[in-house]
Amino acid sequence: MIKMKVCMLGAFAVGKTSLVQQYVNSIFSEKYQTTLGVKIDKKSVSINDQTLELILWDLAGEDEFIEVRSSYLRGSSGVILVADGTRAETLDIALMLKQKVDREVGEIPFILLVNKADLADNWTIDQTRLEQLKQDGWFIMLTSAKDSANVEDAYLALATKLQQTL
Amino acid sequence: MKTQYPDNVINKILQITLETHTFAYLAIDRDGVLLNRSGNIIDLGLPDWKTAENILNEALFLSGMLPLDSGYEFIPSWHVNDNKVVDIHLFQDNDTTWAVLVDKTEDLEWQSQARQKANELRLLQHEMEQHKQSLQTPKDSSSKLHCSFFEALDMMALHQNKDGSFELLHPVSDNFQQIFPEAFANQKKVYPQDKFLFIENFLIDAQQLWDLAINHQRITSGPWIETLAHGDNVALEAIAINWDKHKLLFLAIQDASYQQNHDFLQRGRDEVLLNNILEKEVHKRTELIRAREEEIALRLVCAADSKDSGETGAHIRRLGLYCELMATHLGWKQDKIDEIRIAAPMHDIGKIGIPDAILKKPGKLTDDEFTIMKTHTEIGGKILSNSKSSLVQMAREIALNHHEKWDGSGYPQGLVGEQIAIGARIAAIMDVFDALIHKRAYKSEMSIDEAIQIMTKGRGTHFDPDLFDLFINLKKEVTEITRLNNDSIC
Ligand SMILES: Nc1nc2c(ncn2[C@@H]2O[C@H](COP(=O)(O)OP(=O)(O)OP(=O)(O)O)[C@@H](O)[C@H]2O)c(=O)[nH]1
Ligand SMILES: [Mg+2]
Repeated sequence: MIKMKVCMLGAFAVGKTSLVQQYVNSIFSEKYQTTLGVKIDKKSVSINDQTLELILWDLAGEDEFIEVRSSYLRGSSGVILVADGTRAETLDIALMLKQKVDREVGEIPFILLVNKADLADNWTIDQTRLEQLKQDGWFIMLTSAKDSANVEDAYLALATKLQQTL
Repeated sequence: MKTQYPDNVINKILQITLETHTFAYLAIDRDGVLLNRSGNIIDLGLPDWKTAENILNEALFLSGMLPLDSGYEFIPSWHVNDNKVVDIHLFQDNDTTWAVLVDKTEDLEWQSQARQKANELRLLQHEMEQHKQSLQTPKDSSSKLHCSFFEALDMMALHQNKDGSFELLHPVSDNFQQIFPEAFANQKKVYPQDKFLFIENFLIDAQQLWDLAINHQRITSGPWIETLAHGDNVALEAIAINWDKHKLLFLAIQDASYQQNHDFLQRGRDEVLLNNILEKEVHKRTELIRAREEEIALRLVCAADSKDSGETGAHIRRLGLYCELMATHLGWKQDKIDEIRIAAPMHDIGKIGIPDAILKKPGKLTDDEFTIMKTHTEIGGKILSNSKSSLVQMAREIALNHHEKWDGSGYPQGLVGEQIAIGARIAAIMDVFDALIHKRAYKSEMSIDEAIQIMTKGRGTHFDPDLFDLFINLKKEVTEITRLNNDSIC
């Protein structure tokens, strides 16, 4: 089985841990427990008769207290950038982290998840910026780790991109 | 004792162990006289004991403990005072001396402690340097002592073999039996890199360090989290070090300071999130109130203007938007921008006090009539005077001053240049512009270019030249506002 390392990157509290937990263990918790350190989970996914094992690196959220160590990105095959649709500023952090990945690892497959889609009433993220990114070729999905909308599909989308690189 | 490593290696391991934990170390003789100390004992809530001082009376945790029967005693959660709770480990060092290790378990002043942690570590490191000499003098029973240390501190020390596998250096605590059971099956060949993906990645950096073989150098992995068989999570950290060409790797279960850092981070982030929510709520409500204020203002202005058939609701709406545009490009703060948008439409509110015979007179006004007409500025100023609201204050300035001219030839006060409030200078330009390009009962409309051409004659005489230039620069945006706002709001 081919193993592929995928880093979950984004500002704090955007739902990185929740997305992994929903995808791997089908669970969701309302309570916010910030991740201090790295947590690695695995899940296999089959695409076109090929099975990939995704090694998901859930990294501590980036903010003024904590920065993602470059060594954690090493060896990544893909990246899942996560922003929180209810906190517009988290998109800037996702974009910044994308640049960091480009610098440290080079251009590897990635997708951007705008999470917490179930909270559409509190949406503050700038739609035109998302449209702009889409025009620039970004693959963007609205997800909810809470009601699991698009979660499976999001990982599948990245896995498909990863498989194309093989 | 399984390990064959020389005592200086073991001592180095001990030193690292001390450095990576927040605790104090005391050596005492059989009578309770302090022989040696390191670490910040004051921070742990203990008195500032000096060497050669007998501490038996004050160190209550020692009462009845010496001499030790077992060679090792553990006193968990000893309450030093209301705030400080520590774990105490007692070791028999040799026949006549005992080592006391005081380990911080919990600290109710967690917040300041977390901040101090970095300083503490540095301090401890410094002190350890000073005690290096005594530490590096091996004692007969030191191996036994060190092993107990590792067990008590939830650390695992490994040494890398030539083939890349590792050898376990000492027996480890039960906790590691759960975390890394494979390490106990064959202690001479342990593969942490196969067990933990995180370590596999860390060993790339560790290997570089080991290859450089610079003595004493070390790197830490940062914390990572493992889920145990029964579902609990445990935070670990790895440390790699070069010591006399020995490639040493430590795996440490994170101690109370990790929890403190976590709690500190959690609180900080919870607070940021809560503030975000509150700010959004406040913003939403302010917007609501602003929108309501704006609507009331516009409706009242419309009511007043209905006396004057020339002015329409769409005109006053546009005037607000033009002024908003200008203010935005002048770099005003958002609340001021909102204010001028709402205030500018009230510029002619004083017309409410002008008799209909004059206001609605077709054709030219006589001099006397014009004198009366001009008083609408002062009437407006009066209506809007003495308000504590900065919005109404701005509205007053605009109402009173929007017929003033840059060269001082305007009315009612004949103010010159920057004596005229900036809001009024902006509104003066935009009011004239919008009037020119729209049809009134007494005149037909002009094109935007014609209007600008005519108005340019007033640059520096009627209008503030800088603001006028800005207006010209914003022609495209101004035109857009004109195009989109033809519907009357009242
Ligand atoms: N409503 C809603 N809440 C979500 C969703 N995803 C995550 N959350 C909540 O958002 C908070 C943060 O989620 P986490 O998954 O811990 O976020 P994280 O990105 O791992 O945070 P850090 O580890 O601190 O970087 C938690 O309270 C979750 O319950 C979602 O899709 N919808
Ligand atoms: Mg997390």
